[in-house]
Amino acid sequence: MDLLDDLKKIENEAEEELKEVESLDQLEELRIKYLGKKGAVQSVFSKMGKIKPEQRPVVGKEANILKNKIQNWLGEHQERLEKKAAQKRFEAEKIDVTLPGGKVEAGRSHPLSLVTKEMEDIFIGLGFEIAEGPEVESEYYNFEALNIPAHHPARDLQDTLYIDDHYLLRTHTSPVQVRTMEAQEPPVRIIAPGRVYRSDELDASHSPIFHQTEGLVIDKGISFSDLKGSIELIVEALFGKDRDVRFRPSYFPFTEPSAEVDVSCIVCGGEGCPLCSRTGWLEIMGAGMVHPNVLEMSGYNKNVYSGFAFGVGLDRLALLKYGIDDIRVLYENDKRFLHQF
Amino acid sequence: MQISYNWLKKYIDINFTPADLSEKLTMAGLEVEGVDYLGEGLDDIIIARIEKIKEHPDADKLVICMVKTGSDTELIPVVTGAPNVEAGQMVPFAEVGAVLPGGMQIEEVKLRGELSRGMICSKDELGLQEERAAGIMVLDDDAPLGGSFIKYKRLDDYIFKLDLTPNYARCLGMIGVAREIKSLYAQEKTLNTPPISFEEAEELGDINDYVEVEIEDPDLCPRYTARLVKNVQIKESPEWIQRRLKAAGIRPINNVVDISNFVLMEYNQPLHTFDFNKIKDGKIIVRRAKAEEKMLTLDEEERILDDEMLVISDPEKAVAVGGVMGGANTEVTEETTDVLIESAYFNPVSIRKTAKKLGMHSDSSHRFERGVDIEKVIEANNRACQMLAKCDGARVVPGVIDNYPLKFEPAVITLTAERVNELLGIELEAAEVKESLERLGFTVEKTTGEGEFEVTVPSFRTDVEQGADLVEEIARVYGYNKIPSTRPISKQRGKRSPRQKFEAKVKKLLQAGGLDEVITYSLQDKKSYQDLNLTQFEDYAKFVSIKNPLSEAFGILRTTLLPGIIEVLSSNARRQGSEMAVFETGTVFRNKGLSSRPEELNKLGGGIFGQNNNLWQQGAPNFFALKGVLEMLFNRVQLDKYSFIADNDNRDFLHPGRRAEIKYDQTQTFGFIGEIHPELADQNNLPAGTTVFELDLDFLFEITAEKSYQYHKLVKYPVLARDLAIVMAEDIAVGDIHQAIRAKGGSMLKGLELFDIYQGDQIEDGYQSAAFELKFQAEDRTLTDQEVNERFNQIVNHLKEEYSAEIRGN
Repeated sequence: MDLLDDLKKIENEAEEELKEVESLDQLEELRIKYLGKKGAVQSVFSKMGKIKPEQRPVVGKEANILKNKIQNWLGEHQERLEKKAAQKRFEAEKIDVTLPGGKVEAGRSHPLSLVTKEMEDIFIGLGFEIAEGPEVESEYYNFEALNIPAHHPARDLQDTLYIDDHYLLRTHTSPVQVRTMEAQEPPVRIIAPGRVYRSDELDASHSPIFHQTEGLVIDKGISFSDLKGSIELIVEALFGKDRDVRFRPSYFPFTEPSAEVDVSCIVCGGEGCPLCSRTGWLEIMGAGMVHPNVLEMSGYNKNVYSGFAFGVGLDRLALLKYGIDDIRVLYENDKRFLHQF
Repeated sequence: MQISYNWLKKYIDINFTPADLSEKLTMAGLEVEGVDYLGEGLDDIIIARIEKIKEHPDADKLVICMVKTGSDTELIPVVTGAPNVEAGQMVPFAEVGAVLPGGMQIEEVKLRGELSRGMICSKDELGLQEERAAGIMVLDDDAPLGGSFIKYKRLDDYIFKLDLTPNYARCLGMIGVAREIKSLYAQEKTLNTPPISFEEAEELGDINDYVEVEIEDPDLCPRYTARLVKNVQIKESPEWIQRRLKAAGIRPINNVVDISNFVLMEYNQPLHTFDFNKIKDGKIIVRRAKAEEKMLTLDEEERILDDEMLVISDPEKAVAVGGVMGGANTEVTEETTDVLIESAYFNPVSIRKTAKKLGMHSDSSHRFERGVDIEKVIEANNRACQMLAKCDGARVVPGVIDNYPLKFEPAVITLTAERVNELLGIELEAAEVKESLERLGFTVEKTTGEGEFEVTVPSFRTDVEQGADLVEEIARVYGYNKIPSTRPISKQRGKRSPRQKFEAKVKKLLQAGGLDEVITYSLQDKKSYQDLNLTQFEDYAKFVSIKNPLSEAFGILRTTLLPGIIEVLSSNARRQGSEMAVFETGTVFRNKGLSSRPEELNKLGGGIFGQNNNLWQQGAPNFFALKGVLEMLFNRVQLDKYSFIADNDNRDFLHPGRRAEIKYDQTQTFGFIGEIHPELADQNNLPAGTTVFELDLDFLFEITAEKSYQYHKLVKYPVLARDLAIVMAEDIAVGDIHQAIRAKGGSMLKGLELFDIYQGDQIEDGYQSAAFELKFQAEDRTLTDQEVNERFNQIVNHLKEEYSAEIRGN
């Protein structure tokens, strides 16, 4: 009996049988069969006593080689089986990635807040601070100090809601101009967004409650051209580069010269359409050089300082920017509306 | 104010297209609100004559008019049902193919078998009147056959509607507008003011023989002029005057009234005409009214006057509220023969006060309160006399009474070119400054100063008081849009205040928590507070009422954000919204007593419905969802000493068992949260379980503002976790146990979280079980089991002693 032949035979059998192995259990059985204490390879070792001594090292070497070989085969095969098993498991764990994600509803900002914030950010970038003032105002701050004396026709420009003989609901954010000047020395650079009130019946374009932003810049040597340049920059930031801006003479008691600022219509671009009443222009803000009387009443030296002021209707801006055709929609807070922003 | 282009051209010969003029006026500061073409849609209407009328063979109410549109054109048959057609009438006619103002195109039709080839029009069909006309419009016999209806009726005119700001008082008259156009756009043209000449009836003597004027209160009436026209026949005005007035939007009445209105529109000078024979002794006294003095005004209203008002009176009675409205007792009527014309200057403030007090805003008061041209009152009076003199038989009494106690002193303003350039950011030569102002009618004299002028303000510029006003005038002449654009250099860094940043952060956090921002009205209906039972809470009943509210719906200032938020929630629920979560930041107002400034508080409020995660099995998913958002907010603004404490006797609008006060440091209440009372929820269309909160934003800012982020070294020693399940009486608040554990746990208790509460099987009635996870850790060493166990047992014992709580399972 040639043990070397036996080894060859074992090798061939093992190789063949390994091919049939499909599971880790079978693999273990095969390992026991060939490499176990009573396995095929061991049986060769146990027959070593019966062969010639000079053959023993040769057979021993070959038997060890075979043992390692089978061991490697088993290892490789085990890896293959494990990989296959994992694959199977992954397949079983497969999900439908097209199912919707967990519901996370982020709250929205009201469009008026969006517009206000946009304005604030533009102005902060230009070195402005944000000022505030009360909504219930005295006659003095709302009118007198803004060069609107009692019994002046300019009082008709704004229908006022009164609390009593002393107090009223501010009709504009302009009182913040005076309050700011009283509280600080020049230079001044503020905007003052806030809520204002008028005795206007509620309809698609009027609301007794609406929002404005006041702006005020005071320093030595501030000119009307500074006003123009600043406002043009703001209009560009709000409406984009393609809009034309025009300034036309107007009247506000607290500015002189005063201007109304128009921007070329955002819908028709100036051709004329219903939005702009066929004029091609949209009125977006009032502005002007701070009236010397206002400077003086607020304690600033009108011969040393000059400045400009402006006022923008934020509701109107929101309507224009988002194409809303009815101011009441802003205050109805319909979820379907809020969730468009 | 509206002006006719054709009328305007009488005063200045301009040829701008209507669109161009509209633009020019707007850019001059006279904002044009709209331009109407009077002949709109009438281009196709021609003048025709009804030659003869035939009966309709098949209809009683229809006739066939044979119409001619030219001397040698054939007759056109027109079937009509108009009752007033007669042969020989000149009529407005639309031929086949013509389009009417409404857009209807005339076609050839058969009416009851008879051919009709055109339409004889009525006034309403031509858009000349609103109401349905009874028949066709009949023109005068001299109307040109075949001519254009527009031309014949002088409808080839454009009406400019001007929205004039108070500083454009001078443009409340045609001459003023013409002057403005000349100054800015047509300097080379002349201003054609009407040449005034008329015959005075010498034989009537002198006005002073008839009339005496005494001004008792020159402060209210610095100038009063009067003229007398006798033998006037009151009748309709000539067509051209009526046409002018209609174009200006004024209804023609009779020749005297129309002429005074015509002069008002022309000169911007209100006149008043009295029936002279009803003025006692021909004596006019201009005086303050007596207190409680009564007078019946032209509009048949009895007015009660006071001693701040100016009246025109005779020795017996007041005959007019000066500059505002005439009295019925001296009204010009059909019987009037002698007319006294008043042209005066009244104190603007006095006129405004009077008109306001009496609620009588008139074309006159509108002009007087803005200031008329005191130097032109006589010219306006003469103009009226000239026009009246043309009426049959009228004779003007020679002379004018001019009582002018307070002479006009023109303002003189000193101005330098340098200051003008500084303020406008332009570089005008001194001569250009001078020229600009002179164009506008200012008198400009150079002084000895460098580039300095003395500018005298003409009497028609009642709006100009100081240098800044002149600067605006120069800017208008220069052109606002030619002024260069520059930007001032900022010397400061722009920023939000800490308070503003805080509010922005709060908003962001609430949005991250899923709440939508809403903005609601701060004026509200008191009734909604009653409906929501809010007035029971004392602070919410401190209403600030509006003295002159638009309606009850906007009658008070909100004292809380709740009604607005609740309205948003309920209106959305009504629209089948299944869930909603909102917040609002805003001012609320509290009355602080008579004549005190109301308090303004910044609040944060919100509400939620439609949640269904039944956290802790309390059956209040909305409550705990909203509470969770608030806890997140407090944690993120680093507020730690807050607690939610059951609210036992406040706020009846909330569910008595589901409301809590939010307290700082156990003591200071700065807000609340709770379910709307089920009954109120039901009555107000709110889904059951709707939960709201409100808190004081300023307070929250105050107690958190100081904090800033500070890094703590990360602890590398292990955490030892222990679960603690206890059984205790069900009326013990879990929050109290939580606090007790935390207090007893000391600094080594790094984490404490409730993970279960339970009642039911295995728990005795009246008891509940609560399970917490406790995490122990030391910053400087690894804790031993023994240390942790000791601390754990101390906690257990404490709970046992204080709350009779037992470890569950023991």
